[in-house]
Amino acid sequence: MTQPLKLKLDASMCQGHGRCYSLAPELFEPDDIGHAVLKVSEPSAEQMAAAGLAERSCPERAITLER
Amino acid sequence: MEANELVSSFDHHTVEYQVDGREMFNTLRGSCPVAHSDKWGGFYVMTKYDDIWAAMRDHGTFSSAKSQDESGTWHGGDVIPDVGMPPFYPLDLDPPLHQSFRQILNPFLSPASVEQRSERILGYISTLIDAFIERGDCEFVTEFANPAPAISTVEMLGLEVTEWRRWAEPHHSIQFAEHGTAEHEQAIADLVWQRDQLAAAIRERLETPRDDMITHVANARIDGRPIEPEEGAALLWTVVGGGVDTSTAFVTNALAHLSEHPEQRAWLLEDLDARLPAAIEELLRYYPPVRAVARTVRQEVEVGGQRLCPADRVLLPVLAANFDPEQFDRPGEVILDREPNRHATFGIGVHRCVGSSVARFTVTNMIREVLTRMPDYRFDLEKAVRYRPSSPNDGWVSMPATFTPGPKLARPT
Repeated sequence: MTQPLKLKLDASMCQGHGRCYSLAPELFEPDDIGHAVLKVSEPSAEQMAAAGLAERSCPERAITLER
Repeated sequence: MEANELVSSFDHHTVEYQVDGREMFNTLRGSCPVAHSDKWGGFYVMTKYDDIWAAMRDHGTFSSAKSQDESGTWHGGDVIPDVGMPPFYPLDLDPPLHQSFRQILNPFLSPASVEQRSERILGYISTLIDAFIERGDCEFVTEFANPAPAISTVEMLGLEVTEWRRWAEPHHSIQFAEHGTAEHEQAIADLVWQRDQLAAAIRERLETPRDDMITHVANARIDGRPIEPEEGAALLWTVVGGGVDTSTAFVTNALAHLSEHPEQRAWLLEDLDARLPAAIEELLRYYPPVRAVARTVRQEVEVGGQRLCPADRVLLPVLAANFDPEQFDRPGEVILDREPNRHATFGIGVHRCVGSSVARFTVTNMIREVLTRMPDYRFDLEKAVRYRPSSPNDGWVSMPATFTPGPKLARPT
């Protein structure tokens, strides 16, 4: 079985643009000031497209999807 | 303009830039991605997304702070040329003080607070359209694009909503009054008046608190000590400035685009709910109201083969970043379902527009309501009047619109 991809959020780089929780609400949510909180660290096959979109959409490059 | 000539005489306060700024940056990016202009006392201008991205994140090297000379004149800050005004907080501050002020605003501008105020904002949008929907025509800027964000900003602050024009007007007129004219002097005087009013309101709320942003700011603490009324005024003033004119300019530009491209508007209308979010992001990329920000170099750094030295002024154009082909496929085209779209319109790094959640909600719903209630609107771009080339924002003084009349909705506010 291949290693699952891990979804990571570097909170120190997050500036609260909110793209991730708008585009992938299953995977991210806003905290009380609008910075992102990661909800799922090992996306399922069905969630993979949203995870990749969130990674490519973060203007701060704070999100990575990797082994 | 020839590439070599463009490099040394690049000027973002010209009619040419206003009409053709994207192309000017494309030319520079291809020949001299970090260029030096002799205008405005001399400054560097970056044109690659990656360089602008890195500079916006590196606040230690690229400072937003202002400083005063011996005569008390303020220099530096967020725009080139300097306007000589005292700092906006937290816009013209660097970390760590920047964060001490910015965090005071966060509770009022978070997604949760937008959710709380959503009905109020939607109500204002609807009521403003009700005022002209039966006529079949309107002056779009003064009757809708300006008041919608301004009224909600004024209400959020805790100011008198009926006075919204006094708060919005100077931020609007400073955009099109020529430097040195009586009109420009008046706009500056009105802006200074606003700061004084905000400081007075803070003092009043310390005596008589209300449930509003002014009271929250009045009682805030900076690094453990109470905020000074003048500091609080500088903070609230930034909210006024950020909230009243930027959304106006963007909505007008976005809807002008859809008026000029009815096939794109028709595509949107086929499935508005599903297609609007991505379309808003693409229109934000293409029509950033704040086209560029400025920084002052604090320590020597090399970018794009250029050595930048302390005190150098640097222009970081969002308008260049958003059109870099290394970041965006076919950047000169408006592709309403573009994905991904990590445009720099709200900034990058610690100065990311603190009002971006409110802004996205407001502009999305302003545009949604116009497309829904006036789907055949036409803007008359021949009669429309733009801001002056010297204005910081890319917007319109007036935009005549016609449309098939519709019914009032009388949505409660």
